[in-house]
Amino acid sequence: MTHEHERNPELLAGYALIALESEDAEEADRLLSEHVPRCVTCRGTLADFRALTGELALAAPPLEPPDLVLARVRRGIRDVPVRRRRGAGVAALAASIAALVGMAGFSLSLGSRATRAEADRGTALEVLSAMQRPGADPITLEASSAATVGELVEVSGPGLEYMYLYGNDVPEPASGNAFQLWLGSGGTFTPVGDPFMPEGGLVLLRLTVDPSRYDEVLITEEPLGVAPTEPSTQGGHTWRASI
Amino acid sequence: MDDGDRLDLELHRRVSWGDRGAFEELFRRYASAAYGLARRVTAQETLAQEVVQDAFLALWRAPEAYDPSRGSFRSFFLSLVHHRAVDTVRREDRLRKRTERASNLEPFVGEDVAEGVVRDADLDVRRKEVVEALQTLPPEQRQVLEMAYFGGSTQARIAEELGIPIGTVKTRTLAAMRKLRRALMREDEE
Repeated sequence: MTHEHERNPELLAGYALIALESEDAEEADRLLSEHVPRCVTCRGTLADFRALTGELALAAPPLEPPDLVLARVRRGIRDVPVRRRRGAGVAALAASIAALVGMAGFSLSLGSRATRAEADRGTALEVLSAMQRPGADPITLEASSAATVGELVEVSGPGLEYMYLYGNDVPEPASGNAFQLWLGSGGTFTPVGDPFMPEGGLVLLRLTVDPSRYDEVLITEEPLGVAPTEPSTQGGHTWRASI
Repeated sequence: MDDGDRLDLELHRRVSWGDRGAFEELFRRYASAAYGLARRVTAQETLAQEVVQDAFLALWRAPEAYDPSRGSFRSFFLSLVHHRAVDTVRREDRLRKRTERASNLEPFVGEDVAEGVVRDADLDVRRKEVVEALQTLPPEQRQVLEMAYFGGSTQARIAEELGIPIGTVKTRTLAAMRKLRRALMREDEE
């Protein structure tokens, strides 16, 4: 171990405490960018010191914050829902709908309703149009497991007559199951529409529902032939998002 | 990993899905620790409220910032609060006032928690361990650590305040951190 290396823990301790300035801060920056990524010992030391800075917080006597803090936080999370990804994912799905609409003879699932290709084509065009309208609010649903592939997007917004759900590369549910869409409010979920199955990985639902009454959208696997009253907790593919 | 850590992991996983109920449960578990810390560092009620509010909103906006492979959620989140509290103090240019107070901070020994605070048993146990570990530090080491951590002071300022060389501050700080690591992170020692 070099003399320079012996100095590192002092810098890392000061860094973890946010207590460095001027030359020490610059030296720590160099250490973190050039040496720490390659040094198991220093990485471990830094991780331990960082963990300690979290634990030390408990030494401050706890104080209940005023109620207004929770009220502000609640307001804040309403304004900034988590996991809203309107970037590349939604754009890619919009492109895939556009490609789909251009295909001849495509077939989509529209809930459990028997559909004709032209009707589905029309609905797909509606979704594409809805996604591009000002005020439309496409939200990508998050899969509950990294093992679940496929993307699902919910589209709703002011001035839209329907709420849409579009899915691409959606896997088949387990044998004997179908997917069910739920809308939730305050942790209570209501089944919406009929159970549905993807066709060739595609899902397209058009729903007459006012999404402003809800704060969550959830898709679960449910046994076919049984009208579910609450979301299954038996596993399977699941997607979820705040709306 | 204890039961509290496992509960936090589950709540964090649900927050990553956008589960507001899980988020409120994390708020209930950590709001008093966060606010106590923020008040200690900022010494200002309004700033402390902003720090706590911002930290929880940051968690909601980017739950993926916590990587479970890097340690406990508790440590991650309270570190986040600490960083924001220190940043706020420095930004508000109240450092000198705080430093004056920090150099005269009473030790935590024997300090009681506020009445009526919602407390979780696992956090109480850990709090007791942390306070006891701090008590085992030699006073000169605890002083520099508390001035840095709870006072938001840099090592250069601590040296100036105490009239000692900055090298001494660094040495005492490192010694304190190593002792705390041995006391509080036993499972990582082997």
